Amino acid sequence: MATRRTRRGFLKAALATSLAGLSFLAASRVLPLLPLRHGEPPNLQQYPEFGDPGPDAFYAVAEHTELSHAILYHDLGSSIANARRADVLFLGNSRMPLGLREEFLVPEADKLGLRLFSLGCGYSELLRFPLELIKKHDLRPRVVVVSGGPHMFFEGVSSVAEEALAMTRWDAAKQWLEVAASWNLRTRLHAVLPHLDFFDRRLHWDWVTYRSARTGWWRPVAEPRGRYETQLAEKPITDWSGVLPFSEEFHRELENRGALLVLTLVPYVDAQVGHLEFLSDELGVPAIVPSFDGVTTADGSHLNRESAGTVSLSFWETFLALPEVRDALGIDRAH
Amino acid sequence: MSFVSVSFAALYVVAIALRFTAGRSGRSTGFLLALYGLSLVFYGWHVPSYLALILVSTATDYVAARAMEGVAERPRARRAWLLGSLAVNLGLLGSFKYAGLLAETAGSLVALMGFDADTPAVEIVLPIGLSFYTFQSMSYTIDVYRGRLPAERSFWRLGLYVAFFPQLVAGPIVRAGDFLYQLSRPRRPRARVFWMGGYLILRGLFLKMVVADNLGALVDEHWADAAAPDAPPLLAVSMLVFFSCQLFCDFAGYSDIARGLAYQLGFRLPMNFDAPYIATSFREFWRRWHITLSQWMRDYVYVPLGGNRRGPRRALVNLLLVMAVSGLWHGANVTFVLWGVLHGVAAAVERGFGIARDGRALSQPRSLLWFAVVQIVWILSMALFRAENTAQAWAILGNALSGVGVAGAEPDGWAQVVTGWWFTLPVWGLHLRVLLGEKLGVGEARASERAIYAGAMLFALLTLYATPRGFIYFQF
Repeated sequence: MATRRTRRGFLKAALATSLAGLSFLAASRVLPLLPLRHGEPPNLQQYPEFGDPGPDAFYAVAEHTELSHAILYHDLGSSIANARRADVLFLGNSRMPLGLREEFLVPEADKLGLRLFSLGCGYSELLRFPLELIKKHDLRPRVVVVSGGPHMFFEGVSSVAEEALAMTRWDAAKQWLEVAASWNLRTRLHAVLPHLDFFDRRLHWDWVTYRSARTGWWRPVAEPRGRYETQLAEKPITDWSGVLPFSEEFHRELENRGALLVLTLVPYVDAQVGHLEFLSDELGVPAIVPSFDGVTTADGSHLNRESAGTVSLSFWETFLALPEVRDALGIDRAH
Repeated sequence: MSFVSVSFAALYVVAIALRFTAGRSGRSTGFLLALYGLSLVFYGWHVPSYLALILVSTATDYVAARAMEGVAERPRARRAWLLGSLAVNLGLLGSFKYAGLLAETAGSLVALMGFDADTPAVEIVLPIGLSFYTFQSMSYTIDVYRGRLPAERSFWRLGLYVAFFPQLVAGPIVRAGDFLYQLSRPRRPRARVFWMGGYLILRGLFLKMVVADNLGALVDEHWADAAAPDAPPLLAVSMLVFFSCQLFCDFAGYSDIARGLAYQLGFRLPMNFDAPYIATSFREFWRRWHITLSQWMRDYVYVPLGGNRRGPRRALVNLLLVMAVSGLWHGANVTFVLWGVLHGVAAAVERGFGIARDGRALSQPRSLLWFAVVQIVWILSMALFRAENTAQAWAILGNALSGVGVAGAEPDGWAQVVTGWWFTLPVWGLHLRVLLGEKLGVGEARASERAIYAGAMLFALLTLYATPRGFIYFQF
């Protein structure tokens, strides 16, 4: 009796599973063809195979998500411990780590036994946020390189930084766990089953960027391959007094910490560079103005890998040639 | 902790593993204690220090209920214990949920009197689910006071009733009498119950992640546009309908998941939604929408106010009061109070004019007409429920009622709004299925029918989900 009941239960379960499977298959055939997106079928969004970011990297930026701010501010993982050991800190927004790239700079620094660390953050971040990081974590590098356009030298923080500042450490850790796990899950799922987008809300995986906890640099595992010319602004601004108040505060803090400030910029479209010379004069710090010749971006804003290589190596050469930098880093003039 | 999160998935794996090991034989104190522990982790995940609130609430009701039994022969003392317990629970609710509204109102009054006073901004992170578990906790004490329930001897059993994680943050609001006895009943895992639970979880996730979140993205994007002067009426109507579908799928989806989780863990939770959009009267609507809150309001607010016992006029006033309180329960905002009052007036009109009394069959055309009135009032009331302030609500309502059609140029993103209507289909389908069952006698869905739905919902869940957004009722 019991065996018959068990067999019946098993058959029922098998039938239900088969029906569910058939229904799943039918849906997978029909839904991608439905012309519900203003008369068109949905966009089929399948994730490509991403490169390997390396064992020391964590998921940092994609699909309008930026985890770095909260991770750095709340000292999660080993990033800040590594930042404390750095000789040179690099600050800037997303253009900096994608223009002055780790793969070109760090090997050169290793040759001299110098430790570099990037505190660059995306979302058009300004300098206030990294300044808060420096103060909060009591970072004492020997040199601080600031790479950015004039807007960076005004007071303020990005919306992402604002959220990070308002979070508790517990919230930041939860966010990191959830976003990273969800990302891992989705990249695996949509490698085999595309996401159906009926609303033209394309997944933004043009840039997918991890971040090294060891060097702080962004490590793109997917990047666009465009070639857009960079150039200086056609109408250069002449009055730069607006950038001075915050820059002075920023510089004072670095001086108190015994760090040398070096200004530079990664080329982009319609770039202003006048602030570099102005601040260099006013603050009495060196500035490195890059060459824009033949330098192209991948997406109109961030340098492609090839140009990043040229700009990074050229920057490093000029940087090391600066007497103030050599003094600050204790590099023998004959080196 | 949200059901749609990796951390919850991890917690639930632990809970299910315990269910099939320690909890396999039923009557397992270890399993129940572990469930209580997991429930506290679930709650503390949001803001760990808020665990103190739920423990204070539980401890208060535990002590008050035991004390009431101890002074069974002294009505005054019993009453004092009850009032003390209510004061603590309502005090917690008031301090966290209504402090901002009270400060704002006080500031406005002071300003009206001609004084120049700075109102301090009150910004407190609202403990999630506060309104749900305080109501649940209070119902226990009141039931003990009324002699309907013996006081629970074990603190942690009462604690598990208050904190049981599937329903902790957004209901259903479970009565102690419907839950506590389940803690002693043997609950052997059964495949049928387990799969039914799985089906409910899948349906809940589908409603939430596919329907509610996709519609929610559209509503978030276009709501302000729909309130702009001269916005096309169709845009305003679309937003109201989308939001009503979002709200239903968000909340009914949560309730489905909660019931499904409870099933799998060996418990039964009451139904919270029963196809409210087929209701042909306001009275019926509230019997189908957020059923456990409606019943709570009836038993613990309407009846103590006198219910129907003090004449028809008083009954109407009571109805209005209950609905206003229900609105206020949803949030410390004038828009919610107005929303409640609107539904109170509608229900009072219905009852006052005898439009849809029990036992009186409405003729078909009249029934259809009143059905249309009920549903239109509900959809229009969404303006108050979703709006940031009354001005925005009136603006959307004005636009929605100003005519028909897309006047002038199509607004930005109109194609997406049109696509959004397709995403309301599951809501109508679900209601149609219930309607067929109720009116045409088509039986409840069999296992084979559910299997077909499950396959399609699973595919949709994996491929059509939108960026997750928090459950709307978490904020209440």
